[in-house]
Amino acid sequence: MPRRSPTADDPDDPVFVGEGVRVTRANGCFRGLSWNLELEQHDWDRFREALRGAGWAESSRIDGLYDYLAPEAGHRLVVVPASDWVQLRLSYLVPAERRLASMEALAQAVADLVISRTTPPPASRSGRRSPRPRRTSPSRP
Amino acid sequence: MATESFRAYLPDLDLMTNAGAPAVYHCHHFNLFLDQTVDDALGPQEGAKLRFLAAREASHAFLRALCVRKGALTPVEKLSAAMEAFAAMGHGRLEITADANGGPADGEFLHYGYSWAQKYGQKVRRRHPADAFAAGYTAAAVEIAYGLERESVDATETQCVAMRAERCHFELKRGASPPQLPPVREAEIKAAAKPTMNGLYEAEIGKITNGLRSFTGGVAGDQRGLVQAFGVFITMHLSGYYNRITYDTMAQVEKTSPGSIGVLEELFRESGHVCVFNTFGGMLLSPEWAGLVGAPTGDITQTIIGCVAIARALGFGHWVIHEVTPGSKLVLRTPCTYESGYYLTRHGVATRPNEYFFQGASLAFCQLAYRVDWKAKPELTPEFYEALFRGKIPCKMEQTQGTTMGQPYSEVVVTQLG
Repeated sequence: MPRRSPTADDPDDPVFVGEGVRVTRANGCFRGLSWNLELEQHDWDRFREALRGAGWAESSRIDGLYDYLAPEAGHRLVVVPASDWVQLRLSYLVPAERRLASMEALAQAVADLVISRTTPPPASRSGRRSPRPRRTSPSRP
Repeated sequence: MATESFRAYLPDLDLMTNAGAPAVYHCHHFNLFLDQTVDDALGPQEGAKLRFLAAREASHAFLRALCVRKGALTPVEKLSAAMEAFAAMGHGRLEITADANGGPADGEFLHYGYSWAQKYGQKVRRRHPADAFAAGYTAAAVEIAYGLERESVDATETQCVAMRAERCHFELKRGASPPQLPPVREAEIKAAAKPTMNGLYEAEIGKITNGLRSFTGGVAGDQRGLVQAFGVFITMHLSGYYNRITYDTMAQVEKTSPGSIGVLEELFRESGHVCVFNTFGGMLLSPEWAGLVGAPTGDITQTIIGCVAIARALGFGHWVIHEVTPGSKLVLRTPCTYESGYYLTRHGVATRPNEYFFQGASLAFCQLAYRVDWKAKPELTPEFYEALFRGKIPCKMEQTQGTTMGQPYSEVVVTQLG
């Protein structure tokens, strides 16, 4: 079952834990737009390939950093492979009350891309994945 | 970015221009705070009027040069160039249908109104339009497009998203042209600048500055004309706008309410705190910074170096570290700020230090360097801002030299108390 923590005041407390992904709040003054993703799998070459295959447009203006624009809605994903840093930036057009849900859906979609590209079929990898997605912060998008 | 090829930095001065017009990058927190300070000092009617006049004046000079550089000749071409540049600079989307006789213009996702609604709209009901900058820009665009006399078109924002309208709407009409003030362009800024200098850690600062400039050079407004970066909305803005609303407000309050000057100066300094906390902090905590420089370690000197590099990249001027004793003292110097060239050109020599943004930003550098646990990757929340900058700040800031006072450089000394 999704789980949200009662406070999640510690920045390291996850706001959402999905299958193969853990999400914490990132810096950002607008409520609920920036999120850090910790992916269980991060073969970055395959990840990039998977994102591109799913229609995310890649650009890179800084060596060692990749910026992806989602195929629709203006969401972005910024990846720093050297530090395993993946930041999801929701479009500011997402209403405040829907940002948490949008984050969860996108984070899980991104994690699913990684999983599908980097691991064997579900039957043989079930032991490596988080059991169920869980949301851990009800109050603070 | 449509206007990218017209962005330039004055050699050795680290001041930015766009099509020859003095320009800087600032975020919506700074923009809203500065506008609010002006309105608080002058009242919403007079504040909005000053902001409109400042926007129209600065925009006219910018758009005239822009249209020449783009080869825009017809009214349609000139208006198109103006609207395109407005969006590219992160100010939102304008649709100007007014002509030489006046008429309407509409705005969507205008930087001021939209970001105000995002930041405050859930909590506060705004009773006055927020987009005086867009109004002034629109008026200037019509003047340029139809060859009208400078500063002869008035624009009134009749609907604003910050007041919960669906979109922003402006009505333009011909008006009387006020007495024209001396221009403050690239040439005047260069003439006012003092001989440049170098400070400590120049190689590191220069490398970061160049990396940031390369990165920001590719940043442009999205399809709605906004730039969402580092957790804030960023604009490339005309520094003449900031300077005129700041120094004209000071002059007005000195005449009408001299006892309030100290408070007003403190608020203008606080605009520097707001900028550094949100934009500089957001940059330091970003993946882009990690990719370009490496994640912040919390080392005080490295944080100061990063902040000075950001200031140069944003076009604030050639700020140098003259002295840094971690946890104790910071001395920044500069031959110019984006404030000083304007002030000297427009107002002459000052009788007291008045580079308020430089003052406030310098103090904020120390707050970020001394009091932020960067390794913990803190959220830059309003509560964290309050904790850092409200109440008793354990630093003392003093501007000890000022080019606006005719001295050879500007210097701010920040010392740690206790």
